[in-house]
Amino acid sequence: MNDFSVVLEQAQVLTALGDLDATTQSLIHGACALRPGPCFGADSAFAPFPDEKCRRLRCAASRLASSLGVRLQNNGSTVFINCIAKGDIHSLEEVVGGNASHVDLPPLVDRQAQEACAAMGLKPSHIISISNACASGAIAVERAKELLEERRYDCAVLFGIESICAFVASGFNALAALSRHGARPFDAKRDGLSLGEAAALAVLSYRPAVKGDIVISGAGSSNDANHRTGPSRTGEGLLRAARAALNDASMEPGDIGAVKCHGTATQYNDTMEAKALRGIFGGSCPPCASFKGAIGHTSGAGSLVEILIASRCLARKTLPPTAGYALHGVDEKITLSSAPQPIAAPSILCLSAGFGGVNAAVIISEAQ
Amino acid sequence: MHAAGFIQGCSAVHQSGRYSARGGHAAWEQNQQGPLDVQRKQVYEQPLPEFGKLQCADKLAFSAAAMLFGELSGIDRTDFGICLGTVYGSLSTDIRYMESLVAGYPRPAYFSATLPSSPVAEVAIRFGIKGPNRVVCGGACPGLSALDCAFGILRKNKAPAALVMAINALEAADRSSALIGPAQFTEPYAYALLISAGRWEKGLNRRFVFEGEFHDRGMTLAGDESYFLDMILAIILRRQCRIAVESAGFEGSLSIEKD
Repeated sequence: MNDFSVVLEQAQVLTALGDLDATTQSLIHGACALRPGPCFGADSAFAPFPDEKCRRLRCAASRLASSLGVRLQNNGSTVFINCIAKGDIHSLEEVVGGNASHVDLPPLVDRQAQEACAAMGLKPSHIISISNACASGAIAVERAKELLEERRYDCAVLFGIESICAFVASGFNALAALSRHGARPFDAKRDGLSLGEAAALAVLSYRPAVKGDIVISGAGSSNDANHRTGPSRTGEGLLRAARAALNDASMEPGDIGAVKCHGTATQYNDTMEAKALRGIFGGSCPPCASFKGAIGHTSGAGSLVEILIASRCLARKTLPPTAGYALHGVDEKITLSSAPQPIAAPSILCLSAGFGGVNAAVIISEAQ
Repeated sequence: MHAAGFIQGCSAVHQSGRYSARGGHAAWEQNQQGPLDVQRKQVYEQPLPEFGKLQCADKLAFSAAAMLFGELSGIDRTDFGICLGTVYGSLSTDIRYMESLVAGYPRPAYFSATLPSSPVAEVAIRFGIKGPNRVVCGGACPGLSALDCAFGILRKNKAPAALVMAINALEAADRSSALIGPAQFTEPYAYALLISAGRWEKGLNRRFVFEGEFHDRGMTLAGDESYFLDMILAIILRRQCRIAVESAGFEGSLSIEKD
């Protein structure tokens, strides 16, 4: 790969299983961080931060930045992309809980991005908050790729944090989308999702890749145009996003070595996703995995968190088992496992979907 | 940054009335309070029983898109992209949901719309738009960021056209709500532009240029993004114009070239 590529320069996450290396290692060893509920009033298993301090944005942001071991670049031009699913709900909860007198405007989405930059000592040229529900992180990667390929900025810094609150837990509970005992993606006994907490930080640049670099090969997004909360029954939307990403990467399905599924463990999502996978790969589906049975659904930060974990899996050429998966529960023959699976080809297709019918796909590759 | 394209349709739902490329300007009825009081029959010919139940941001987005697409018959919208810039996101709906939660009866219908991206869902479903999505929330000029995203999509040939929407939607009651601190609010609005990279055989084909630089000069509420209305007026009046934009988030211009 001598051509210029969008290169993942640095990455870090904080999940219920620890930092990026610890999370990846634990996932590969079959760990599950879900703990029994109640989850903020809902009778559901969930995966909180091991250290409650990480629920505070400033703490999570500074830990992420300092753990990268280098100071983020402040020379050259940087675009900071904040990935967020919801609006100012934490501030609303503070007011309702009597801990604040009112919600300040500008709303959280601005404040969150500014606070994260301050905590990381970052002075970006431009700040954007991308808010595409649970696909925010993947669409932020897609947007960063476009901006870097246009050479608008030297570097893109992507950040996302998700901490569970009663607002979100009650909402998913009201939709009967939460699993009491824990998410079991693609399993026959799956009965809903588990919420998780996580934060992620990624630094991308545009340069000639060298062997071993992880690059963002392709990205695409789409909308089901079908239903506000439920996915398309046919998987057409996710299929469109995946094909757009393959097209962007100039790749064929056979170039993909593994799939990081969205895999929420709701009946409809997993059924839809399995249909999309059949549409993409036909009968030759590469190894697939969902991380949500182990670290929960981390919403606005989720797709970025999972792309970064997938990047480590790619470097190790090993796809983690799908925690909670035991008995195949979708009609399509997709290659899920309760054990680690080898990654034969050096690219992973990372799929995401969200409320409002949004779908996103990002392909990451290891430069050869 | 320099981008050029063609506007194939436009509309605005604004305090001063409703605007569209071919329909021109229509004032509000005397008893109407402005954008959030918009009636279905003023923007969309077909019956839509759900219209009255739409949350404010969704209603404004739907209305602007309905006016725009109402003037573009016979086009296949399936592969179009949607790029939304939203000032407050779903703040009003967030408050409605929070009220239902505090009352002990969290309402799923509210919860499903407590997302800044909710208007995109509404527009995508109603108008069958399945292309790429981008939602930019907050910042000094979210609508311009959405326009910038749209050019990103077109340059990469990810969609034949992109619907760009800029929305500011906060219910009147929420502006005076004790939940929200003192702030200066702009009146609600929704602007919509349909842009393509090239000319269309039977399109509006108003060439425009978007140039300048985004930057960040600290936290600020977006202004009224009235440059979009200025642009839409120039299209309606078939004039050329160059609109200078100098905000806390962008410095540059939007130009509509000679028809």
